[in-house]
Amino acid sequence: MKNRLRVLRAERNWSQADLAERLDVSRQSVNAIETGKYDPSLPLAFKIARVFALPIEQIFVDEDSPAAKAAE
Amino acid sequence: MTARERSASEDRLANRERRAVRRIVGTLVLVAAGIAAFAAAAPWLRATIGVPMAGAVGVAFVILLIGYSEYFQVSQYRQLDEVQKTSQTFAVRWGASAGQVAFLILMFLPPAQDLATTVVSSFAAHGPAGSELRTSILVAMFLSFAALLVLQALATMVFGVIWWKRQS
Repeated sequence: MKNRLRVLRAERNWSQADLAERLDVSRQSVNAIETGKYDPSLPLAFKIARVFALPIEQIFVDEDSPAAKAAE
Repeated sequence: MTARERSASEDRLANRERRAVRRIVGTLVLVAAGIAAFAAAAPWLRATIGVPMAGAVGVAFVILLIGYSEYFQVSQYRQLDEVQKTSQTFAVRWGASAGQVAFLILMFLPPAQDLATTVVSSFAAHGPAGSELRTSILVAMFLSFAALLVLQALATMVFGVIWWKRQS
């Protein structure tokens, strides 16, 4: 699963540590999610969406979805 | 977000990590001190309450240590976030098996066999007269158990690092 965490974070001028603090996770965890090493659980994905004030689907992209395939 | 706010949140995260490390190191020092104190008191215990009772106290002490380490492990695990928990689950799963394999390999290496023989012989020499074989076997069993735990702990740490370093 792809995500736009790095872009959204950069738009707000937040460091990984800032985002980690807002999500109550470690900085390494933010890095793992951002680089796609780890796909967050639904509760954490909702929390991320709340922090960025965006719908989940604007942050995470399901690469197997027909829409994502069509965009490629 | 200003540079000062960013620096403050990085400081808070760093402080949280430092506190966690201090807690782990403090516990390890406490456990090491407990083991050293018990080892130092063992001859006095044997002389005061006899060998069988001293052995029973030793077993109780080991059970207490295992219980405390389990409690500490659970309390640490509860403080992890979901990514860290996933990493820990992976590390424990593979670390346990890798530790067993490492222990088996080590048992067949002549230098490790020589070291084990030297350690067991030195312990057996200090045991009660006439029961050297029994002491040797007991010491060998205890050392094997301890070595297995240490190897599994080391392998768990290695697999934890592997999980964080692996590429997606």
